[in-house]
Amino acid sequence: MKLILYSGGTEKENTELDLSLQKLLPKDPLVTYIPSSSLDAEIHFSRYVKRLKEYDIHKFIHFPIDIPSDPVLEAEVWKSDLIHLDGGNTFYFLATLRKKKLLGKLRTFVQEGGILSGESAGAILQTPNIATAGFPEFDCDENDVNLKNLSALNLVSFEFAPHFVNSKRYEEAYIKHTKKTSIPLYACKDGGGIIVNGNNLQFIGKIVCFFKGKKLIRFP
Amino acid sequence: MKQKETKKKDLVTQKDYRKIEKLTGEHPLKALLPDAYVSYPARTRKNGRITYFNFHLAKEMGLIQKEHPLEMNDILEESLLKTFSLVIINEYDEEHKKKFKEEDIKPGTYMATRYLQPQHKDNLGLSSGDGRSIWNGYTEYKGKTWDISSRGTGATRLSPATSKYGRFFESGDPTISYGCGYAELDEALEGAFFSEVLHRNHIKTERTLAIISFEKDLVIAVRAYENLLRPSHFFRYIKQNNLESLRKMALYYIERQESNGVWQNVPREEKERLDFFLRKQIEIFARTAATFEDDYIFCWMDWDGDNILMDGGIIDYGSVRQFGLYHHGYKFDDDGKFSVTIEQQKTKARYIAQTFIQVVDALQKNKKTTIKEFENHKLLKIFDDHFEECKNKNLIHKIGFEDHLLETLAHSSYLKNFRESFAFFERVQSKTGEYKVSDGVSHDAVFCMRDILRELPQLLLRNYEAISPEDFIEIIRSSYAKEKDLIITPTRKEQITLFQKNYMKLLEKASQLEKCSLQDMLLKITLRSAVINKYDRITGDSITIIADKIIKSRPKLNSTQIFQILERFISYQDLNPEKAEQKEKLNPKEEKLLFALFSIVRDYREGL
Repeated sequence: MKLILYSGGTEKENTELDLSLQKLLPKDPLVTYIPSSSLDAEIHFSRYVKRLKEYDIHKFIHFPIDIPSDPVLEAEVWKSDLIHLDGGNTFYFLATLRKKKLLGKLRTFVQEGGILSGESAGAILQTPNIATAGFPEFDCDENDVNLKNLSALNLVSFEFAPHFVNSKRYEEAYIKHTKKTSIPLYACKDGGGIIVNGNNLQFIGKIVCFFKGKKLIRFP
Repeated sequence: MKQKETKKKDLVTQKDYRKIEKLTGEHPLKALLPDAYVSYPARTRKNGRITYFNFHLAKEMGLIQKEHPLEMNDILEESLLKTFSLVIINEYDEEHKKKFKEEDIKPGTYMATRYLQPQHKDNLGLSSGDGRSIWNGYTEYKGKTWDISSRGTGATRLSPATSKYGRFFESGDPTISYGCGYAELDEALEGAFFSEVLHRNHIKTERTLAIISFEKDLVIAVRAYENLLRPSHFFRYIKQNNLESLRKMALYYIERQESNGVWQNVPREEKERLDFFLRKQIEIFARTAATFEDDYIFCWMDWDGDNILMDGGIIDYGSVRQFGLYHHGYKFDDDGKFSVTIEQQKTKARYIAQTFIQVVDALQKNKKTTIKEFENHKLLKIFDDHFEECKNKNLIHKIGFEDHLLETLAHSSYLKNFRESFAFFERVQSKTGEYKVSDGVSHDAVFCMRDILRELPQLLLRNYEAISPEDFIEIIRSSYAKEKDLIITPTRKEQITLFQKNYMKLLEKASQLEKCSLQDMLLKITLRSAVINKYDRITGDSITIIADKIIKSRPKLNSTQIFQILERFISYQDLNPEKAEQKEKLNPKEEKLLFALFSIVRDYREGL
């Protein structure tokens, strides 16, 4: 299983993660970009393409999922080497993936050797649930779609909190949350992320682990 | 901090709105052409509220300061109401000796202009024109002159109702609907949304400056444009053989286009000026017809019609539509008179060009010759050539090529062949046949060509191999297509091959011109085409539903919020591949409404 979870940030901040991604990919890979919503998706797609072009990647599919999809293009999606889930509103993104019955297909894609990357919302979706999208209340997504079932792709056994800022109020929120959970929560600053390659976890950038109500390890 | 913000805001709102209040009906046409309009006094129409104000347009026109915040304030609202909230004192009022308070009478008089209208039987424009509109005046800013007019300001003697029944009507008379001189909120909002989206996408159009609402969802819609003259203003004079007024109007129009910077290097001598004018008008109408056809814009361009401005801009959105597919079987039913189809618009535009030839010939020879004499005029070849050239360029743009490649690729034989295959599929109609729709008849197109232009470059990026005919049809099939519409006949198979072969040849040629790899060219086309051929583009149907949705949400929305929602909506419908991301966030409720509007656009994306 090959996964990359990006927190967010600029192209420059993510250089190390992008280089790691390039090493995981075969030569001349096909990449599918899935935006969280089709609103302004073309602009985000264009930005993503320009970023990956720097790594000699040239084949892309733009696959917005909140508009009806065409089976011809969708067939190509599952033949991709990499699928990237972009950032945005995590609740809307998960609701759309579920409505389109794409969660199972994404799991199969990963199980069959495809690489799945995600940024911010797209990274949270790879974890067991998207609870971290809903707090801290001063920095969270709105659940406008009124989503009740927050279970996500469940490809890793940890939670992920992007855009982490070293501050007491963030820490308090994560400590409070992990008192009620049994798996670690990795809070990650922009430019950082986690690479999952089989059983190996590689932490890039500044990441803080919260587990059972405690702040545990600081990476690196 | 809060106090500081308030002070800054106050400073801005203290700026006066004198330029708005100067719009009291004065216009150069008044003195120049007294026979071009009917003059009406007016009085204040009370209890109006500003429902929509186009801050960006107002800034472009210099009506408000560049730094003005994008929000309404009491002084601005008062100024807009003082200027535009009016109703004419018409012939009915005079016949019935209606008395109005002195303080309610406006100081100026306002023009209801005369022009030909297809609904009027005389066909000479003796009684037709602005039936429920008046001209508020003109304003100048940064070397540009703008005309401003308002719809819904009362019943004039030029309305079809007066012509039909031979009597005058009271403004607001509920027994006569269209002839009552009032306008309704749904049509005004439709016009505002539609025109701003088209304007953003470089289609020439009137634009809504403001909407003032009254009880029962009645409105005054204030609109502006750089020149509100229509061909039908001119053609009325040629019909009447009134060459003196025709000359004055033509020279006035040329001068306005010149001073507005629209036309450069205009000759000084009258004969040459008229020749210049004629050539421009022929090119304008060829370009307009080609653009309307390619963007699936349905605009009733009958030669004496009133839906088009002199420069090809759209005016009066009542029957204007944008189709999702090339629905060339649709005809608008105007009280028993059917419009032309989108395909026949070219013939009408060509006839307008022919009429301009007649106009200039009459002015230069001081003698009117019948229109028939010009049906094979050599200048019509300019129309035909320009139309073809524009069609070629439009298609190159649609594919996703950058503008600097338009000229070279437009003359490629591959493009000619590609256009044939493109049109072959675009024009396929459902075997279901013609049927009645709410405002006319239609015969569905079944293939969505935007979808193939958006998806094909992505599919070719894999290995540069043509896709199968089955996949091709699967991509272009629309919801209108039934199984029997999708049969892959030998001809269709051949056209699919030709389509892709010529598409790839064009790509190869472009990559040679750009000195880049084919892969890079395909990637560029993929990115540009994703925006240009967006999945969910507005249609006339979607605009109607959107206006309805806004009306239902309106009690909770003020004019600033409607403006902000409209701005976000326009940005979403902006098909410019270089557009910037819209950063401004709306509040959660507005955001929810916006998403509902997007969803409407998606649901109706293939419709009329």
